Order: sequence, then C-alpha cells, then structure tokens
Amino acid sequence: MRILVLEDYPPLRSSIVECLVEEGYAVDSTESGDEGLWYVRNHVYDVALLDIMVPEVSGLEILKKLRSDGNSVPVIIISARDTVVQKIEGLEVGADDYLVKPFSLDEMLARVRVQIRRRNEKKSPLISVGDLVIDTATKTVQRAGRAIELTRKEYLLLECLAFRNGEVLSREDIARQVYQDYEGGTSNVVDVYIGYLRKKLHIDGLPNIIHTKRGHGYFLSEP
Amino acid sequence: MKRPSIRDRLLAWTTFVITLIMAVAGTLLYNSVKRSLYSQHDLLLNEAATLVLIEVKAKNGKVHHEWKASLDSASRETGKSMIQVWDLESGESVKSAALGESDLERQYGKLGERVFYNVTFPNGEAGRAVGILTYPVVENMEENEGFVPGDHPQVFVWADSTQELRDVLIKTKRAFVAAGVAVVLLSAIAIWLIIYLSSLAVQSFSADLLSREGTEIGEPVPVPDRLPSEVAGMAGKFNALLARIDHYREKDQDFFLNVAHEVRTPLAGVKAVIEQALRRPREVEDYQKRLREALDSTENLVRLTDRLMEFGKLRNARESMVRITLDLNTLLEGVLEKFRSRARERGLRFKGEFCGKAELGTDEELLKIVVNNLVENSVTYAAPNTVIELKTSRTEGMIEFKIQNEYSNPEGLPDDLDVFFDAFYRNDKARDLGANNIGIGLSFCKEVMLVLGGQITASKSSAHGLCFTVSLPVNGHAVD
Repeated sequence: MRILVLEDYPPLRSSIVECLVEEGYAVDSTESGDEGLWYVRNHVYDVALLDIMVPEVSGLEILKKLRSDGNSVPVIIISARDTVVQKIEGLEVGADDYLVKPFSLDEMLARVRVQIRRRNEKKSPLISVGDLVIDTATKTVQRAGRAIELTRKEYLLLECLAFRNGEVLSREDIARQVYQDYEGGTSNVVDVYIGYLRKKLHIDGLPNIIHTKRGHGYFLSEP
Repeated sequence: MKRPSIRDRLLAWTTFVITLIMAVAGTLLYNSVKRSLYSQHDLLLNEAATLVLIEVKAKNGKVHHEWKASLDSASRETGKSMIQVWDLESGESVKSAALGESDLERQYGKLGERVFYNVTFPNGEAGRAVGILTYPVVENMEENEGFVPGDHPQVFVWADSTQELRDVLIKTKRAFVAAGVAVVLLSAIAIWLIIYLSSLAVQSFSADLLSREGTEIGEPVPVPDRLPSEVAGMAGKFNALLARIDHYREKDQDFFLNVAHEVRTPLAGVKAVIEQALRRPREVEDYQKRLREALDSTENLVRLTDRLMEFGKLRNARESMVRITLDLNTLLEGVLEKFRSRARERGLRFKGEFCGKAELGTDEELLKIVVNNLVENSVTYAAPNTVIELKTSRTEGMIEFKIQNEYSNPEGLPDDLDVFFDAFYRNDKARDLGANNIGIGLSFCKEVMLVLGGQITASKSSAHGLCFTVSLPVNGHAVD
C-alpha cells in the first residue's frame, strides 16, 4: 500500500512517515504543495494525507484539482483548522476524512486502514479468498483455520494481492505498493517474496492460491 | 442611582412653567379686574358724592345739610351709603343716620380734590370712601349776606359698602383659580399625551435595545421609520458602533483561532514525535534524537508564545513610550547595514533617496520594530537580483517612508493588500517558525503604528512591485 504525506512541519511529517513505514506502508512525503500535486498526479496511491496550509499550493487546492481530474484517491485532510465550517469545506471539496491536529498516530493509522478498505470495497477488516482469511486490523492470516506466520513484507504483499482479488498485478505495481524505496527497475525481489509466500501458504492437500500470469504478473484467487 | 426620565422631567417642568405662567397671568388679570371694578366703583362713588355735595348749602348765613333728610331714610333701609360732613371751622360734623354713633375715617386733599380710601364700617363690613374738601354752596346771596363760604370749609366724606364688589372679586378669583387649575391639568394631560405618543418609537427602540442578548452584538438594532431624527442619528451611530465592535470581535476571534491553529501544529509535532518514540522499544541514541526533535518543536512553541506576548504588550505600549527626537534617515541606514549581507546573498541592492532632514519625535525602539520588519520582509521576499528602493520625504507635519521592491511571487499577491496586516497571514503559507516567520510581523507593525500615531499601508507599485508606506507625525502626535 502506498501513501502520500503532504505536511510542511518537519517533525510532524517525519513522525507520520516513520509510523506509516513501520506499519509496512510505502510512503512518499513532501512539504511543498507543488510537489505534492506532482506526486499524486504521477503515482497511484491508496491514501493521501494532505495538510491544508502548505507552501505554494494548498492542500485544498490540490484536492480540488485531483477531483476535477477525476482522481478518486482517498484523501484524509490533516489540519489544525478545527471549526465545523472548515471541516465541512474540506469534506465538500472531496476529502474522504478529516483529522484535526494534534492527533494520535494510532487513530491516523485506523483511519488510513478504513480508507484502504473502502477503496477496495471491503467493509470488514477480514478479507476472505477461498479458505484464506486475512485480518487487516490485526494483520494476521489463516488458511483452512490454521494460523500462518508471515513477515511484514510477506503480509503486505499478500494483503496487496488480496485487496485486488482476482486482478493481475504486475511486479512493478506490487513493488510500488509494498516497498518504501522502490524507484522502478526490474529487480526480482517480488518474485522472491512470492516464492516465500507460496511456501508459507502451502498446506498439503490444498491447492495453490497465488497464481502467475506469465508475462503479466501475479494474482490471488480461490482454487 | 435612579436615572431621571426625560418624559417625567418634560412633564414636570412644562407643568411647572405653565402653572407659573397661569399664576402670574391670573394674578395680573385679577388685579386688573380688581382695579377696574374699584375704579368703576370709585367713579360711581364720586358721581354720587358730587351730586350730594351740592346739597351742603348756605342757608340764612349758616351751613345747611340738605342731603341729610333725604338720605337718612334711604341709607337706613339699605345701610349702604354713609355720609359724614365735618365743619373744619367749628370741628362739628353731621352724619347720616346709618352711622349711628360711629364716625367715618376722615381723609381729604386740596379743595375739590377727591381722595378715595378704604374704610371699615361699624358693623365690620369693608367699604370705600371718598373725601372732598369743599365750601358750602351759596345759592341765595341776599339771604346769606355776609356769609363767606371760605370761612366754612367742609370735609365731605361719602362711604359706600364694597361687600358686593368683594363678593364679585372673590367669585372672579375662584373662577380664575379654577380656570388656571383646569388649564394646568389639561395642559399636563395634553403634554403627557404628546410626549407619550412622540416617545412611542423611542420606547420601542429602547425595548428592542434592552431585549438584546449579549451575543447579538453584530445585529444592528432596527431603527423605526418614525423614530425622531434626534434619536435616529444616535441610533445610527450606535449601530455603526455595534458594527465596529463586531468587526473587531471577529478580528479577535480570527486572531485567537489563528493562534490556536499556529500552536496546534508544533504541538501535533511534539505529540507525534513522542508517540512515535513510544510505539516500540528503541536504542538510547534513537530516543535522544526524538527527544531533541520534540525539544525543537517546544522551542518553536516558546518562540511563538514570546511573539504573542510581545504582540499583547504592544497594546499597552502607549503608556510606556519613550519619545525622543531622532533622525529617521540615520535609523534607516543602521537597519540597512544589518541586512546588507543577507541582501547581497540574494543579489539584492538597496537604493536610498532620503530627504535632507527627517527628524521626528517618536519612540526609537518601537519605530525600529517597524523598519526592521519592513526591510527584513523586502530582503526575504524581493525577487532575486533586483533593487529595493527606500525613500523618505517630509510633508506638512508628517514624515513619510516608502520601501518598495519587485515581489518574488507577483501572481500570489492578494487583491486586497490590507490582508498583509492580518495576524497570521502568510502569502506563501510557508511555515518556518525557525526564522520567526509566523505571519504576525506586519500585524505587529500595524499595532506599533497605531501606538506611534502614524499609519502603514501597502500598495502595488508596478506590475510586479509591492510598496509599503509609513507615515509618522513629526511631533509624535496623531494627525487626523
């Protein structure tokens, strides 16, 4: 999952970014409105956290431009402006959520997860693909009732495939969503992690759940 | 303390004045009537006396009172007319029967002169008398040969009861008093009604005013069309005052909202840094790094609150101002020197055009705040490699200082440049607390200029230029 953070106050920005990265999200961040607009127009994000009062182009202007472009990326406004009028203004312009500073990082993470679920049309934190159940709230995985222990990267990769159940994701798409410092290229790190995942999800007698579409990428589907 | 009511005052005073006028006018009129009646009475008295006077005659060489026989019978019946005639020669007197044993008071003047005076009859009644010094009439000279009238001067006194006249006067007085009281009462009622009807609009306006809640400051009080012009003008001023209060209240509200906003961001930074530090166990160095970050944020908060405190103190600065005579040109040169190296880094050049004498009486420290802020803003926001122009000039009682430069972001200039003086306004929305850029510098300048009795304005000087003009009174006192 890739998230954009636009915040001009450095200590706050670095803490938000670090928190999201520790949670396993890939994060792009900037303090400038111009850069933020460029990022969100040129990359696919699962969520964008936008501060309103930033230099050059304000968070609200970015949001207006995004919505007029037809970009439906979930946007959470993070702002110190806390009046009802200001919140309504943000939501009317097209924000999906509004978080007033100072906020708890846990609350921010919960709201980010809600937006990701909503974007992927999942009302419940549980994603089921056949006998595979992924709990996005506790970040735990079970297959056929058995708990599967995954590393953070393996989990993120599986969650990324599960959210787009049945959809073929290219290596690049997966890498961009999962790896913080991915800058493009043809690294086989995705193939390696897919291999690890397949092994961990394999249970004797049960069919493979991660499939390869040669020349295109990987997808998750029930057998 | 109970405030007097205009309505009650008007009513009391107009009633008092009308009563006074009625009393004076009534008294004058009554006295005039009284005088007229007495005058009429005296006239009749005189006529009667004159008629009877000729009946004091000389007969056979003696004074004969012909009038006595005919009058005695009549005055006995009416008891009204009384006559007494004294013979000054003999000292004896002849009087009408109605007088009985009593004598009339005797007053007289020169021969033939009528002297009128008040008398009291024996029965206690008041009366009016006329006293005449006369000589007996000699009709038959032969019969009265040797009779010299001048040797027998007579004082003739005719007295008449004035009881009827007094009754008439008492009735007149009563009528006057009754009419006066009626006029006063009717006038008071009419005045009360006029005042009441005239003050209905004022009362309704006053009721509207009194029923207002403390929170309704911004709403103008409705001014009824029929409100008298004197009060309508005051109501208009009051509404204008309300609007001004509301404007300043909104400004204050915005200011506090902005303060809250400015405080929240560094506070969010501190909270996020600490929360993130505690999310999992970390190395000591890592904790130290995060604590330093939190400390930096708290220092930003301290800087912000310090600036706010200074801002707050400015409002009371008038009392603590130290006014000295200084030369603005010298002060400017000192400030420019301070910023010269920073300007050089951005390729900026100062170009000064100073008037010969720019002395003024003002507070040096406060003026420095303004000049520092303006020069610093120019050095920070002027387009690189351009010229910052400074000019001082002197006009009637005022010294003007202009600073203008090419602005680095001309498209970003607001239409209404007054917003530059709003607290926490940032044209580029940059949050750079480390450089003290919290957006209250120009707002600060505005406050200082108010304290110094001057003005500061912003204007667009050319397509890309921005000009700030400071006007200060030479003698340190505000010029309207």
